[in-house]
Amino acid sequence: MSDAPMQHPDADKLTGMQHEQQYDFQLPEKYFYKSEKGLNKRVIEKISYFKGEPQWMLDFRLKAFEIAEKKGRPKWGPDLSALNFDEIYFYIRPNERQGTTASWDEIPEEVRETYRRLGIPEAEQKVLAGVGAQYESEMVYHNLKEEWEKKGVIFLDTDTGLKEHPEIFREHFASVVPPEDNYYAAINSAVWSGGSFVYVPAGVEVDVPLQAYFLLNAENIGQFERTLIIVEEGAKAHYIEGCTAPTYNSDSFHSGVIEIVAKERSNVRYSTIQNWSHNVFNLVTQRALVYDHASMGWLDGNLGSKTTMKYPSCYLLGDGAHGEVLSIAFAGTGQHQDAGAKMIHAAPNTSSSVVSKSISKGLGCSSYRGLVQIHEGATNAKSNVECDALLLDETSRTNTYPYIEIGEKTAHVGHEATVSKLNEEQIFYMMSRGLAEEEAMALIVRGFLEPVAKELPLEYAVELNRLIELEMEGSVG
Amino acid sequence: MTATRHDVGAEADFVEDTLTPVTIEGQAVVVAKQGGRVYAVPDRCTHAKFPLSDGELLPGKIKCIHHGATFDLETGRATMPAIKKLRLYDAAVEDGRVIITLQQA
Amino acid sequence: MTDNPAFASEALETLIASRSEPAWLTEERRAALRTYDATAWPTARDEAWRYTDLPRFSLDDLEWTDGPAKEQVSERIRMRMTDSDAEGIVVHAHGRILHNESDLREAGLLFTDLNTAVREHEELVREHLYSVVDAKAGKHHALNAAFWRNGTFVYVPRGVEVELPLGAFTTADQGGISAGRTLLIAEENAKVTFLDEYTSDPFEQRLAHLAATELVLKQGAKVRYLSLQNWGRNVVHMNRLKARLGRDARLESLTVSLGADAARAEVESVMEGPGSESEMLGLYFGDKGQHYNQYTLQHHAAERAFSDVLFKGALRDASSAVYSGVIVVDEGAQKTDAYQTNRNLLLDSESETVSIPQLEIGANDVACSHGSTTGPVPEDQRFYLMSRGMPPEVAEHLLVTGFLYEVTSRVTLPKAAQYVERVVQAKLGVPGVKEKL
Repeated sequence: MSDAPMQHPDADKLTGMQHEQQYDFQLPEKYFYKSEKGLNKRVIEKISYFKGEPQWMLDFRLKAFEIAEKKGRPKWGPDLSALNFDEIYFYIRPNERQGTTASWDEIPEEVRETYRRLGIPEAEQKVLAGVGAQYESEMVYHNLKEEWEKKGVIFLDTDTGLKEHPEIFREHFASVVPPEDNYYAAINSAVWSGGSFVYVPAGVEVDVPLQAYFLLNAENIGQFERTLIIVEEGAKAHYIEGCTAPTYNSDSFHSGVIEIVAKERSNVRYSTIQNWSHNVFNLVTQRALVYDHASMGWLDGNLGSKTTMKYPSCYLLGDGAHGEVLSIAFAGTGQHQDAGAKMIHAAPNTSSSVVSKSISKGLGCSSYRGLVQIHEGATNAKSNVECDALLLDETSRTNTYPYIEIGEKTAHVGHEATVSKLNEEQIFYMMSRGLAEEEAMALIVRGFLEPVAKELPLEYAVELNRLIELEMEGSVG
Repeated sequence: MTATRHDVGAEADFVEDTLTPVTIEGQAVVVAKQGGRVYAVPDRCTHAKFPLSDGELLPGKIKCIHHGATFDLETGRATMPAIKKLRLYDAAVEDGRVIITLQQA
Repeated sequence: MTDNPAFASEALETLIASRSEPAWLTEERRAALRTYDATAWPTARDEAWRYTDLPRFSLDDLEWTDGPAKEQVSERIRMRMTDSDAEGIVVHAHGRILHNESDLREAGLLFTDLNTAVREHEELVREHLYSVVDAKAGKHHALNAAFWRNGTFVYVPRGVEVELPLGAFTTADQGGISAGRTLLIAEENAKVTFLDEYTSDPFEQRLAHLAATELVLKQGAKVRYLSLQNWGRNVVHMNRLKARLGRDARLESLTVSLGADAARAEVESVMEGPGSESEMLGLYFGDKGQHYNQYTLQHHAAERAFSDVLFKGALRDASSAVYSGVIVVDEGAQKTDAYQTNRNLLLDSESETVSIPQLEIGANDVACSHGSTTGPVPEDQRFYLMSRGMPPEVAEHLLVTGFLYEVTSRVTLPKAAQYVERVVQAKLGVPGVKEKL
C-alpha cells in the first residue's frame, strides 16, 4: 500500500474541488431531436427511423417493448419507486455528425470543454489507441489507430456496427442477454442507442485499452447504451468505460446492456468506474460468455448514482474457462449501491474469483448480491468469493445476499464476508505520528480498497483517491 | 430403469404450433405439436425452473417466456440464459392418440 | 395446495368443542385460523421455497390425527428412552401422552404436557404461549397455532438450576397431519437442558408433522436445547425453533436432521437483551433423495450480544439441502459479535446443495462474518487413509464422520452425541450399525 496518492499530471486542477461543485454545471442544450417524454411505440419507431435501421431491428425493439410491458418491474432489490418513466426522455440526438473522426481537434468545442471540466486531459488521448465519446445517446467522436484497423479490429459505436458489419452483429446481438432476460434488459432492447461494438479477430492482441466516455447532459435523459464485444480465439482486449454526469434535480435513468463473447483462449477485461451524479438510477446488465481456456475479468467501480443495480456475470461454458470480478462500491448518504457478481460454472476445470470491497458512509447502504452456480458435470470447479464491507458511521448500512448453488461433488466453493468499522486504535496511532484525523481515515480506507484499487487503470485510481479524500473531509467533528 | 407409456389424449386435441401442458403421474410435462409431429419435454425450464408451457413454440424450438431461453426440439440444446440441455421424452402418435414414454429410475 | 376441509373453521370449532379450554385460548385459535385464511400458500417464487419441491410438503387430503393407533410405547421408543441423556421424559403420539415420568422434585420446576399446563398453570401459559412463534410466522405456523393438539411445557423458576436433562419424544404410527408445540420458560438465572426428539417406527401412510418450539430466556438464564429429528421416510417435518433472549441470557442449541422424506427447520434467536449469547449448531445428513430446507436467523436487537451459527451437512444419493442464514443487526446494536458458517460435503454429483448466507447490518461497531464452503471429501485425506490399507468406503466413512465431528464434538450430552454418530454411520452404510438405533 502506498503512502501518498498517485500524482496525476493534472492533479493541481483537481485539488480542492468538491465533487458536487465540480459537477454542478450544465452546458446549454442544443438538440436536433428530443423525443416526447415517456416510453411508447411512437418513441421506439422514431428511434429506429432516425437511425435508419433495418426492419429486423425495429421488429426486435417493438417485441422487446411488449416483453417489458408483460413482465413488469421486478419487485426485489433497492427502492426504485422514484423512477418514473413518464418523466424521462428516452432518446435525444445531438446536433453532431456521427461516425469516425480523424482526430481530437474535430470534436466540437463544447464537448471538449465538458471533458476538460470533468478533468479528462487531452494528453491522455494521445496515449490511448481509440476513444469513442458518447454525448447524449450518440457517438460523437471516434478514433482508431491505423495499425489496428489493418489487423481487422473493429471499434465503432453500436449503430455504425449494425450498419457496417450486419452479419457479425446479427450473429451475436442479444445472444448473451435476450430481451426476456429481465425487465431492464427488455427496456434497453427497445430503446438502446449508442454504446460500443468491438470485434477482435483471432490471435490479435490489442495492447492499449479501448476507451469510451459517456455523458449525460439534458434533464431527464435516459441513457441506454448497448455494447457488444466479441473477442475471437486467442485474441486479447481490454475495454475501459468511465461515465459521469452533471448534477441536476430530476431523476435520471441509465440502463445499459453489455454483452461479451470471449472465445477459446481469449483474454478479455472490461473495466468501468461509474461516478454518476447522485440523482441517477443506474441499472445495468453485464454478462460474458467464456469459452475453453478463456479468461474474462470485470472490474467494476460504483462510486456515484442514487441507486445502482449491477451484477457483472461470467458464464463459464468451456473447459478451463476463468472468470473474475473485482468490485468497489461507495455509498454515501442518499445512495444505495446494490452490486455483486454472478459466476455460472457449466464446464469442467473452470474457476472463478470475486473480490468485493464496499464502503458505506453517513446514511448510505452498500450491498453485495451474487450468485455462484455450479452445474453437475462442472468437475473440479473452483470458486472463491470474498466480500468485505466497511461501515464508517453508526447510521451506515450494508447487506450481503450471496446465493451458492452446487450440484457437482468435485467442486470446491468458498465464500467469506466480513463487516467492520474503522479501527480507532489505528487512527489514533497515526494521529500520534502527525497525520490529521481525516488523512488517517483516508489512509485506512485506501488500504481497505487496495486489493481492487491496484487493478484500476491509472486515471481511475486518481479519481478514486480524490473521492476518498473529499469524502473523508467533513466526516470529522 | 422401467419405461412407462402414457396416453395423454387424441392427436386432434393438441393444436398445431402450440404448447399444451399435461400431468403424467404427478409430473408436469409439456406437449408441442409442429409440422405433423409431437414432442414432449418436462414442463420446467432448465434455467430457473419456470414452466415452459407459459412460453411460445417457434419453428423447431420452444421459447421460455420468463427469461428468453430457447430449446431445440430435436436435440434439447439450450440458448442463453439456459445452459443445461432439456430432456426429450419419447413422444409419438399411434392410432390417433398421443403416447408419451417416461423413464422411471 | 388446495383448500383442505380439515383446515376450515367448522373443523376448528369441532376441535374446540371437544376440548374444554379457557376462552382466551379458544380466541387465539380462532384468530390464528383467520390469519391462516388471510395468508397465501407459499409458492416456488417465495425465497424460502425457491429450491424446494413444494409438492413434497403438500398438506392436501391429510386429516388431523386424534391419537395413535397403539396406546403403548413401542419397543424402539423404549430403547431410545433408555439410551437418552434425559431423565424426565414425556412421550407424545398424535397429541396423546403415552408415557410421563416428568414428576421431578426440583423446587418449583414445572414439566408437563401442554394441555395439563393450560389447566394447572393457566396464567403462565397465557403469558408466554405464542409470544415467540405466533400465527403470523407463516401459513404452516398459523395452522399449528390454530389446531395444535398437545405439546410440552417447561417452566424453570428464578435461580433454579435443573441438573438433569429433561426430554420429550414425539412419535407417530399413523398417517395424516399432526401439530405440537414446546413452550419452555427459563426465569432469571434459571438453568435447564432440554431434548426434543422426533422419531418413529416404520409405517406406510404419509404423515406431516408441524412443530413450534418457543424458548423464553429471561435475564441471565442458561438453556441448552437439542432438536433431534429422525422420523421415518414417510414423514415430512416442519419446525420453527425460536428463542428470545434477555440481558446476559445464553442459549446453546443443536438441530439435527437425519430422518423424514423432507424437512423444513427454522432456527431463530432474537438477542433482545444486551450481552445475550446464542450458539446455534446444526447437523444434517441426507441420503436417498431426502431434502432439508434450513433457515437460521440471528437477530441482534441489542448491543454487545453474541451469536454463532455452525451448520454442517453431508449429502449423498441424490439428496439435497438448502441453507439460508440471515444475520440482522439493528441500528444501535453496537458491539455486535456475529458469526455464521455453513459447510457442505457433497458425496456424489446427484446431490445438490444451495447455501445463502446473508447479512443485513445497520450498526457500524460490529464484528460480523460469515462463511460457506462446499466441497468433496478432501482427496489428500482420502488418499492418506487408503494408502494405509483402508478400503475406500471405510475411508469415506471416517472422513464424513470426521467432517461432522466439529459439530458432534460440541454436543455436551454424551448419549445424544453417540446416537447421532451411530445414525450417521448407519446412513453411511458402515457394516454392523443398524440405522434406527
